[in-house]
Amino acid sequence: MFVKSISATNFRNFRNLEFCFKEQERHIIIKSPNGTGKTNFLELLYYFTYLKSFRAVSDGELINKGENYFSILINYDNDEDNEISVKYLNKSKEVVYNNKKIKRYSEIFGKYCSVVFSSDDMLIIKGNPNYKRKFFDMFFSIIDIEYFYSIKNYNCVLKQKNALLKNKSFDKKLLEIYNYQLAQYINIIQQKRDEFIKITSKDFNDKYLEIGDYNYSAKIIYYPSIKIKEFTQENIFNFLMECCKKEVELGFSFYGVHKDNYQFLLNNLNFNSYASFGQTRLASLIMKTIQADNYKKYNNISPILLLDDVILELDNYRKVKFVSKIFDYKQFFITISDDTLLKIFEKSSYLSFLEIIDGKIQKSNFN
Amino acid sequence: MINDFTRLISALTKLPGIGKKSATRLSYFLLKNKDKSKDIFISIVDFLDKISNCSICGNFSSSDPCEICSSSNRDKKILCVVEEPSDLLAIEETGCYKGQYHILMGNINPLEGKGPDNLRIGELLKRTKDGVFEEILIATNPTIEGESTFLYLQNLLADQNVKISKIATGIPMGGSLEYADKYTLGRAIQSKNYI
Ligand SMILES: Nc1ncnc2c1ncn2[C@@H]1O[C@H](COP(=O)(O)OP(=O)(O)OP(=O)(O)O)[C@@H](O)[C@H]1O
Ligand SMILES: [Mg+2]
Ligand SMILES: [Zn+2]
Repeated sequence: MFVKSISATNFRNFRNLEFCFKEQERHIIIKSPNGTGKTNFLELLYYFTYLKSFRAVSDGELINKGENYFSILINYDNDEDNEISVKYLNKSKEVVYNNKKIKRYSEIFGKYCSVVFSSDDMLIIKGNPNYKRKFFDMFFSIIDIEYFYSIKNYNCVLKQKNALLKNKSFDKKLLEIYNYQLAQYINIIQQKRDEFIKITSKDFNDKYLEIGDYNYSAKIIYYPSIKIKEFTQENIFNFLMECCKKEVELGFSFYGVHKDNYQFLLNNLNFNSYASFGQTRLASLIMKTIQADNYKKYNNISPILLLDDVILELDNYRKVKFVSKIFDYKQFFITISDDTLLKIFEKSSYLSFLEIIDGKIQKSNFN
Repeated sequence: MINDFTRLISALTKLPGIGKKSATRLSYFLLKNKDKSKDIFISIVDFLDKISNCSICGNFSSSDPCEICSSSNRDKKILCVVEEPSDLLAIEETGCYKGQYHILMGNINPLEGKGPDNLRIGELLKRTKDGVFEEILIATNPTIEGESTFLYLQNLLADQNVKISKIATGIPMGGSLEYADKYTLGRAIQSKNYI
């Protein structure tokens, strides 16, 4: 994929932005002081992927202060010319894809793919189970669409079951039905998580050794929350039925894939307690790189990479190694706030430098 | 006047698909076209008086039993269970089905406060317990809630000696019978998934 042009009205600090990229402008470096809107710009480029920001903010907060709407448009090349526009006004958004109005947002997913590398990615390695699950759910959904639907359906049943459990005088037969449906999805999800984490762990180790150049092994382990000897749909169902009493007491579902966990190990020790900051940062960068690679491997799409201040914590040797890996992508955007980093990109013949001044993007000559 | 006006607007916004803006526009239209409006209201009241629920299948009808339930040209040995009257209509339009119907009036959905007791499930069991039907075709929507409803009914009907089948093919999960195209739905009905 390749972004050909982007425009925005009232998006964050961009009151009126318009910018085109030429074909050879593939490795785009955005250098500007703090608070000028570098992250905002990446946020804009990311927005079209899932029609939301990668930061935990609502759409309303993306509107330029004092205005009541934003409107954005991207033109990108993915073998063909494509265009997505979004207008957000009165808490609702109008999305148009190649001149056709989109009814369900999910219709747009997969049309424009980007992978963002942000400082929060450390939480993939060190965060709480909830954060890790969310990351891996998205990660595995790229590999396998059935995984995506199974998670969606699982969550749907789970919500119904929780609503049922809230009510003290509920229909026992219905609880059995929900457990039956959950067991069906747990069986699929658990098997896929198990299978995919094995592949991912191997990728993770290979890349960690290559870029990290350490002598230790790195791996990822999946911990299903349901612990039974043999995973079959029937055994899972029986397990859930045995747990009914506790769940009824609690008033919500306590057992299932929404309680699973993942752990990252370096040298067989938990990253949280063992690895250094730079080592953890590298682990998070590698996870995002694998995610981007999976777009290529499973969907034949080269996603846009958006890197927000994330390579700073690596030493120079590993910076160079890491950056050489992302040169293969059709296009990437990276923010920096320091000239010393420029040397790392010297080898690229597709460089383009941008800066942001007063909410406007412009070319810059400091190469 | 203002008070009467807002009362009408808030009444109209209770209709599906009518927001405040459309309700205001409609109110002005009604005021400006009093004769036409009164005609419309007479037909609405007429309609409401005439149409009620069929005491057998639950469908809306001007006669009780409804046309389908009282028809002698339809197969009396097969029963199709659907969620809504609109689903019945969609199946009728395929022309592929010539049996009886039973409308549940919704699906099991605790999130929206709807349990089995809120549906016409008791009426269904009463109809089926005498063994008049050889086959029950459950055509709930291919959604999670439709699936739960199907499984629940399947369990309930398990000890009655009747063949239970389900339409499943062709309609993706998350879809709805009402919006499935005629061809897909027709094919789905003909190639019932027997269990
Ligand atoms: N909704 C908004 N309307 C107007 N301005 C906004 C809005 N949201 C954020 N800003 C402005 O954007 C700026 C922050 O932009 P951003 O986070 O992109 O900075 P940055 O260039 O990434 O900085 P750093 O180098 O510190 O990461 C702030 O100055 C803030 O005032
Ligand atoms: Mg920033
Ligand atoms: Zn009837």
